[in-house]
Amino acid sequence: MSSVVKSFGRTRALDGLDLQIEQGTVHGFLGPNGAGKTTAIRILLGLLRADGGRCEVLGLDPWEDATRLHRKLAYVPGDVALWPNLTGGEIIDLMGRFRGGFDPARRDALVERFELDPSKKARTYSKGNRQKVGLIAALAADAELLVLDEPTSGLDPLMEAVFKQTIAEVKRDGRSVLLSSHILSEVEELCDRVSIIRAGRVVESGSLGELRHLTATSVTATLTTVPPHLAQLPGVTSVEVDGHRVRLRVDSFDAVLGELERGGIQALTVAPPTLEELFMRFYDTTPAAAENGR
Amino acid sequence: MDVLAGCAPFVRLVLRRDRLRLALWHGIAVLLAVGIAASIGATYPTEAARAGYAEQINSSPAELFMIGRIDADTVPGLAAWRVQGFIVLLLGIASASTVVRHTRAAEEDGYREFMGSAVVGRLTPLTGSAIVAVGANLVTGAAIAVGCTALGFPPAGSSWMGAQLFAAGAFMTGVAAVTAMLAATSRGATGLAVVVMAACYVVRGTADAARLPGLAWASPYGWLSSVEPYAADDGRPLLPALALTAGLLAAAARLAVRDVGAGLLPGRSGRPRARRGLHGPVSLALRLELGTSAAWSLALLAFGALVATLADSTARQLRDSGALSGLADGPDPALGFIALVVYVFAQVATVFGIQAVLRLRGEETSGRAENVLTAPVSRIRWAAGSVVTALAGTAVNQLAFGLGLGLGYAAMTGDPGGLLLMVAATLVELPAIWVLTAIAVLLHGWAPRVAAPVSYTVLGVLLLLELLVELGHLDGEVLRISPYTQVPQLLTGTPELAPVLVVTALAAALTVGGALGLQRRDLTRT
Repeated sequence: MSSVVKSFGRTRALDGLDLQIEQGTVHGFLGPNGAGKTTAIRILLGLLRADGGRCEVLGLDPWEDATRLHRKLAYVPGDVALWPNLTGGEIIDLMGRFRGGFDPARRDALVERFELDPSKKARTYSKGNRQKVGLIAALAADAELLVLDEPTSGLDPLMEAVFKQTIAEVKRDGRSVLLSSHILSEVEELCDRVSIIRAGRVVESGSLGELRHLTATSVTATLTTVPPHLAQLPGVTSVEVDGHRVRLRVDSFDAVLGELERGGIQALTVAPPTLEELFMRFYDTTPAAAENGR
Repeated sequence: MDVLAGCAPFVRLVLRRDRLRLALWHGIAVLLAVGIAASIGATYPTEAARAGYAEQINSSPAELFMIGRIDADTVPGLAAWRVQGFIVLLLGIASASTVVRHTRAAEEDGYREFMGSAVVGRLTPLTGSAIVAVGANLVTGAAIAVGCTALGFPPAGSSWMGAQLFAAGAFMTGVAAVTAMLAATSRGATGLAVVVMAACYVVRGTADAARLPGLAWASPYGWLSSVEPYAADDGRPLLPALALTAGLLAAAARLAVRDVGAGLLPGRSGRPRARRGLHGPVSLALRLELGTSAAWSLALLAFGALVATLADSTARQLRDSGALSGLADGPDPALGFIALVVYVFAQVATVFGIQAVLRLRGEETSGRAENVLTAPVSRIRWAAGSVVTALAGTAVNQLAFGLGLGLGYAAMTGDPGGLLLMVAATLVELPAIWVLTAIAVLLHGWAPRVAAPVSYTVLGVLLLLELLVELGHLDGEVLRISPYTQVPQLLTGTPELAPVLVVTALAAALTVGGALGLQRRDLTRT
C-alpha cells in the first residue's frame, strides 16, 4: 500500500498510509484504537475502496480483483460474527466450500487442537469460541496470506499458545501473515517486522530491534562525584540527579560512558527500552511525546 | 424480599423501553374492538338483519370454528362476537412477546447479566415483565369496556367483555412466563407459547364447530367464551381462567430459580459437519430463510383455504352491508371476493420478499457478510443468494396461497376445476411482487442505510392508496402506478401476456441496477 487515503464523511481515516509486507514473514500491525488499522485491512480485503493512493496485494488490485485475491488469502476479524442457527462445524465447512474445498484432515486436526465442539449452535458460543471458529476456517484454507485483525481477543492463554504455534508453522511453510494485535508478547514472539500506525499514517516501520534503537536506553549509575553539565552531552535526552545516583536516557553512549567513568562508577545498570515503553511512546498521541520517542 | 429486589425500577425500565411497542399493540386492540363495535349498528340496522346474520353464523361450522357462537342477536351481542377471535389472539401474542422479551431474550442478549451487576433479584425480570403485561391487558380491557359503554352498550355487558379480553391476555402472560423459563432461546419460548395458544384456540373452535360443549371446557378460551357478554353476562367462568393464570405464574416463579441463561428444555446440538448441500451463497440464504418461508407458506395455505370456504357468506355479507358492496359484485360475488383477497394479499406476501432481500443488509452490518466476501465469492454471487431466495420464496408462498384457495373453493363448490385457476391467479401476481422486491435490491445497492424504511414505505403507500380508493376518497386512476394493478386479475379479468412481460422486465432492470450499485460502494457496518 502506498499513500493510501480513505475518508468517511469529514473524518480522514487513512491519511497517506504506506505499508509493505515481505513474503514469508509475519508482519505486526500496531497502533492505538481508532488509528485506522481495521480500515486499512478492510481496504486490503477489497471491502472498502481507497479514495487515493495505490494498493496491491499478492500482485492483485484488491478492489478490482477481489474474488481472485480472496482465493489466495484468508481473513479473521477481531469479532467473528456467525450465523446463530448454524453449528460451528457447519460454518467451518461452509467457509471451506466457499473456497472450493479444503483438506478435511487438516480441518479435523485444527478443531481438535483448538478444542472446539463443532456440534454446538453458534448462538451458544462464547467470544473465545467464535474466534476459534474464524481461526480454524482461516487456517484450514490453503492461503498464501493470512490477514488477522486482533484474532486472539477472548482466547484463553492455552489457546493463545496454540495460536502462536500454528502461526509459527504457517511461517515455516513460507506463507505470510499480517497480524494486527495489542498483545505485546504475541507481537514479540511472532512478528519479524512491525508497522506502527497512528492517525491514519504509519509512523514507524521496521524490525523490533530497529524500533528499540529508536527509543532511548535508560542508564542508572551511582557515582563518587556527579559531573556537571551531563545534560549537555551529545546523545543524552534527559537527566535526573538524586544525591550520588543519576538516571539518564540516552540515544548513544560514546560521550556518556567516558564522562560517567570520570565521576567514578560504583554501580551501573543499562536497560534497553521494554516493549511496553516502546509502545507507550509510539501510541501516545501528543506530538511532544512522539518527538521524544525518536 | 431479596428475590424481588429492584422490581420497581425494573418495571419502569420495561415501560420506558416498550412504551411505543405497548402503545401500538394494545392501542390497536382497543381501537379495533371499539371501532368494530361502533360499525355493527350501521351494518345491521334492523332486528331482522341481525337475526338473519346470527342464524347464518351459528349454522356455519367455519365461522363457529374461527370465532365462535353469536349469543345474542342484539347490536352489542353481534359486536361482542365480532371482536372475539382477532382481539383475543392479538392480545395473546402481544402479552407473550412482552414477557419473553424481558426475560428469556434479555438473558440471550446478555443484558440480564449486565443488569445482574446492579441489585436485581432472581425473580425480578419475570415478576416485573408479568406485571407490565398483565397491567397492559388490564388497561386494554378497561378501555374497551369504557369505549363500548360510551357507544351506548349496556355497562354490565361492556364490563364483562373488557374482563373477558383482559383474562385472555393475562392467560397468555402466564403461558409465556412458563415457556420463557422452559426454552433456552427467546424464539423457542415465543414459538412454544404460540403453539399452546393455537392448541387452546383450536380446541375451543372444534368444540363450537362440532357442538361439543363438554370439549369447550378443555380450553381456557372455551371458558372465556361462556362469559357471553350482553347475553348471559356470567362472570363465573372468569374465575378458573384467572386461577389458571395465577397457577402458571406461580409455576414460572418456581422454574425461575435456576442458572441465568439455562433452560429446562436443553438447547439442541446440531451436526458437527455441514451437509453436502450447504456449499454456496444460495444454499446458505435458503437455509437461513427456510423457517420463515415455511411459516409464510403454511399460513397462506391455511388462510387461502379459509378465505375460499368463507367466500360465499362473506360476499353476501359485503353486498348487504351497503358501504362496501362494491368489493364483491359482478356475476359471481364469491369469486369477486376471492379476486380481491388475491390482489391485496399479493401485496402482503411481498413483505417476505423485501425482508429476504434486506437480510443482505443485516448480514453486512453484523459482519457475517465478511465471512463470505473475504472468501473467493463475488459481491454479486453473495447478493444473488438472498435475491434468488426472495424470488423463489415468494413464488412458493404464492403457490401455497393458490393451492389453499383452490382446495377450499373446490371443497365449497365441489368444482375441482377452480384449483388450477386459483393457482394461476396467485402466480400471475409474482411479477408485481418481484418489482417491489427488486426496489429493495436497488436501494440496497445504492443507499443501503435507507433501504429498509424506503422499501417498506413504498409498499405501505401502495396499500394506503388502495384503501383510499376503496373508500372513495381517491380516483382509481392513481392506482395505475402500482405494479399490482398492471398484472392481470385472472379471476375476474382476462389473461394478457404483455403486461406480465413488461412488469417482469421492470423487476429485472431494477435488480440489475441494484447489482451495479453494490459493486461500486463500500461495505459498511453502520
